[in-house]
Amino acid sequence: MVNTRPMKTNYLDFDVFEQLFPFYFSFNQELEIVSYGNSIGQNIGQINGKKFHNVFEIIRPYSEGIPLIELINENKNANFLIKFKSKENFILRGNIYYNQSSNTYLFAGFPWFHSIEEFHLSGIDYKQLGSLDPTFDYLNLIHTHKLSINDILSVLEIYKKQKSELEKLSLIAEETTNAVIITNKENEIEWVNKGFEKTYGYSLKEIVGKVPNDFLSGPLTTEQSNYEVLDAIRRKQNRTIEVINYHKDGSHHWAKVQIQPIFDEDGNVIRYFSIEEDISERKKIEQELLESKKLLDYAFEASGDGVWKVMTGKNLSIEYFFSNAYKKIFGYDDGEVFDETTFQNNVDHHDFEEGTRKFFSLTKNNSVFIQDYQIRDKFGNEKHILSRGKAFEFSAGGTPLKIVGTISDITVLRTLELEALTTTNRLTKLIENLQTGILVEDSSRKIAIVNDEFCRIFNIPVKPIALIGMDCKNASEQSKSLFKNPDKFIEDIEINLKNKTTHIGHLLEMNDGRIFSRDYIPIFHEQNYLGHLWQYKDITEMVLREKSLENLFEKEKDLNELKTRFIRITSHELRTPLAAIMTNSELLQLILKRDAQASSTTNDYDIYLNRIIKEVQRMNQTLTELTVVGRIEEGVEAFVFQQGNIVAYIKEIVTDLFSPFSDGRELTVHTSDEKIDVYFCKRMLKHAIINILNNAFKYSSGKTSPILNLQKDKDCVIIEVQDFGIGIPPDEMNQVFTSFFRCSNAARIQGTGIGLMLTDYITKAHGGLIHIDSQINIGSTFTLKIPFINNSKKLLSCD
Amino acid sequence: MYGLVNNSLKEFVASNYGVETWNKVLKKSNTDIDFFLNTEPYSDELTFSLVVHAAELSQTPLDQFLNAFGEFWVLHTAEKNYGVMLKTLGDNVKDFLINLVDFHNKVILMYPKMTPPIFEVTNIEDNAMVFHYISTRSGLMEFMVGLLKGVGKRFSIEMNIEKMNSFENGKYHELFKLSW
Repeated sequence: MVNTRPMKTNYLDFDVFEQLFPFYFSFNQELEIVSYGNSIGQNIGQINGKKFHNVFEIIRPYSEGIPLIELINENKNANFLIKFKSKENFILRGNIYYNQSSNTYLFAGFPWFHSIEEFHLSGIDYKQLGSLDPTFDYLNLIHTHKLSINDILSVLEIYKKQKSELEKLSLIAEETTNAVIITNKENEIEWVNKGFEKTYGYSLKEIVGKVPNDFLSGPLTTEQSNYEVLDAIRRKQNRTIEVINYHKDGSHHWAKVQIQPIFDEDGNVIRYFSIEEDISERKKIEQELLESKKLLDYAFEASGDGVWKVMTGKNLSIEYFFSNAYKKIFGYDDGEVFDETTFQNNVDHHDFEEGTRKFFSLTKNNSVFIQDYQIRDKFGNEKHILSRGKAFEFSAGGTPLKIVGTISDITVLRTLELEALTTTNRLTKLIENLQTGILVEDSSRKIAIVNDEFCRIFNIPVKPIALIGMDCKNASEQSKSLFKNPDKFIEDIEINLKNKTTHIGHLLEMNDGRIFSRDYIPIFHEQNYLGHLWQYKDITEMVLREKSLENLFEKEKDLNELKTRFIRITSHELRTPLAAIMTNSELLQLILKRDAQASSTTNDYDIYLNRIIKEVQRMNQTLTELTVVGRIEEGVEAFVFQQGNIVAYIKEIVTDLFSPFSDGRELTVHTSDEKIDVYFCKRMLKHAIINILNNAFKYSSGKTSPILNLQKDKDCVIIEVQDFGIGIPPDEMNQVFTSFFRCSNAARIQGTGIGLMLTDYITKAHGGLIHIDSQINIGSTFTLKIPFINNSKKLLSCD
Repeated sequence: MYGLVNNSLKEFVASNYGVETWNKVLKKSNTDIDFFLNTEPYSDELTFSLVVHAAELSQTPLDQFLNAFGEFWVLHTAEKNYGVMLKTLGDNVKDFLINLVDFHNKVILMYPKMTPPIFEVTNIEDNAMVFHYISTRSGLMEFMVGLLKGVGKRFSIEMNIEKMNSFENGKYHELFKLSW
């Protein structure tokens, strides 16, 4: 059948109509389909002439039992829902109109779908829809709504998930006694549990909205721990931090805080959950351990000993540790790299190999490691170190897993040992070459060292080295016959060995006439007796020389005594005739003077008598001095020390004898003090003063008058006599105090040669000193220093 | 733009460069929105900022990034959200593009306040056509190229896209000669 076009309209071109309603169809009074749109044809196929009820089924309005035409008439303006019987889910929605001119019914409408999926399943093409068909638009809208609903469902899902997570967490948080904080993503508190309130004393109300660090930190909270918290928040990371937190009442405790961000589905942080554990006890123990370790480290560091550790690490690798003090011994600073290679490079090759061998042979039963290393430090200094260690942990096979030890710098010890060895060698050499016989025995009297001279002295016909180790007990016994007193020789040795005290200069006489001096020196080291040294010196010649000297001394002593006796006797024996000569000369002078006066003649003999008297006086003076010297030497002249004003005393002598002197010159006296108290012997000191003043005038005849200076010093009086005379030749200066010595330039001037000797005697008897400054033809200065109080032994004997 | 674009971008960045990068993109774009509703409109500025920062953080030139994102849009986002609908638009490139343009232009009518681009196809042949892209926005041309490439890939064909003239008269009018 041909699809006829049943109607024509002036208002709407049929082509346009079909473009608008490609799903239209029309049927006649017999309910036969007479025409239909392209889209029906494309989807269902040819339906012309088919009965309506064979192709379609009316879904709306309800049509049960009602004939179609009647139904149409009753629902003129109603929408019909019509289903294709041959195709599931293909429903048309539209109106049915009656066309009077063609006496047919026309359906105009669009396909009807609930979803785009249904549309797709229907197999209808997008292009098959009418140009004004809103189907796709409303399907699009429905789809968009569906997407919106999906959005909402997603949000709900996320919310539910978070809620359930939070419920779980809050359940745990509520139950636990540990403090729990939940903050928002800005780290501001949203909630805390009862554990928190109880621990810290804050109520939730007080702290809600605050940042925990702001009020939990205190003076002991470290910057580091605060930083860790903030860093964990910033990085949105899980982190466990140990921190000191403060309570509301100001007390504090160590807390281990676990911070955990809570993420949404996209990984965005929405909250932070933190739970803490009180670790004060553990911290206390840790602190104590740390202190102990510090103390130990300090002890090690302070001792200067380095610490090393060798461990078997992961994958059986060997890990090395060297302490800072260890590195320092090798010249490396704390920050510098020092590893096992550095060690190997700085250690003597042989020592390293030996050490390594020992190291790898350590076992459970042989767990101690000791090795000396010669090393060269970073600066090239040679050192010796002693490394000691112990293996601690062992594998099942007994191989050490952990070895810990120390090193000590023993450079000084090694150097001393070396020096000691060198010194010993040198000493041995010295002893061997000494010109005295040396025998060193050890504590069991075995010969340790003996020298050539010893062998020579005792006529031992072998080299000293052959005697080393020989037992001396037998040797003494065998050689005792060489000595004049063999039993005494043995006895003395035994006494020395028993006493073990140094015995120097023991004399031994040999049968052959030689004499030896023997020294015994015991050798101790830290109170341990190690042996002893015998030294034999041949002093035969010395003894002989001493003996002759002794003889000479005895002879001289005799002569001196003879001389003293002679002086004493002579002076005494000469005084008597001199007194007679003097008396008789004076008597003769008187007689001649009287006779001359009586006869009024000149006395021509007076001049000769004066000479006699003068010479007698001089001789008398000499004899007096000699007597004094003799008495002093004999020890019979007594000094009587008394305190007195020495200035007045000397001035009196000056007035009596030197104002003026016999040649008319006056002595010039200078003194700063009028009174200087000194203990002195008035009788004896006078000899000395007069002697010096006399000499000053005598040896400066025709020159300026001598000067006497008296001055007080710290503990003595200084008597200084200066003349401007002939002086003393320098080479004779030290002889002027010798008896009967006369200076070479004083031959023409009369003198006894005893005066200065006597002056020296007297000065020294006062505990004083005499000193001379002199220059030829310029003059001499004699200085006497007499102490205020005589502390000399002589004074004591004098008193 | 609709949240779907932002969510698509997020999916594109997260699947290629990781969620962390996407979080950085959000941070750099200075937004506190971390969940986009697909069917809610968001500001164009935000979408542009997200695209620029995503390109920057993925160290990809912007053009290349838009290109890839366009392909991703067609092959993943559109497929995931409008898969069935796309299927109804045709089973070959030619029909598909014609219907798509028709449908797109119809959709525009549903949202009078939106300023979507306008598409046109002319000079239609069996294996070629001229595709018009008319937009008030500049800078998304490479995204369009990506979309077209994606369409080609959807039908497992090599789509040649030859950029022809472009006009500027209040709107940006780009012409692409497509052939396959």
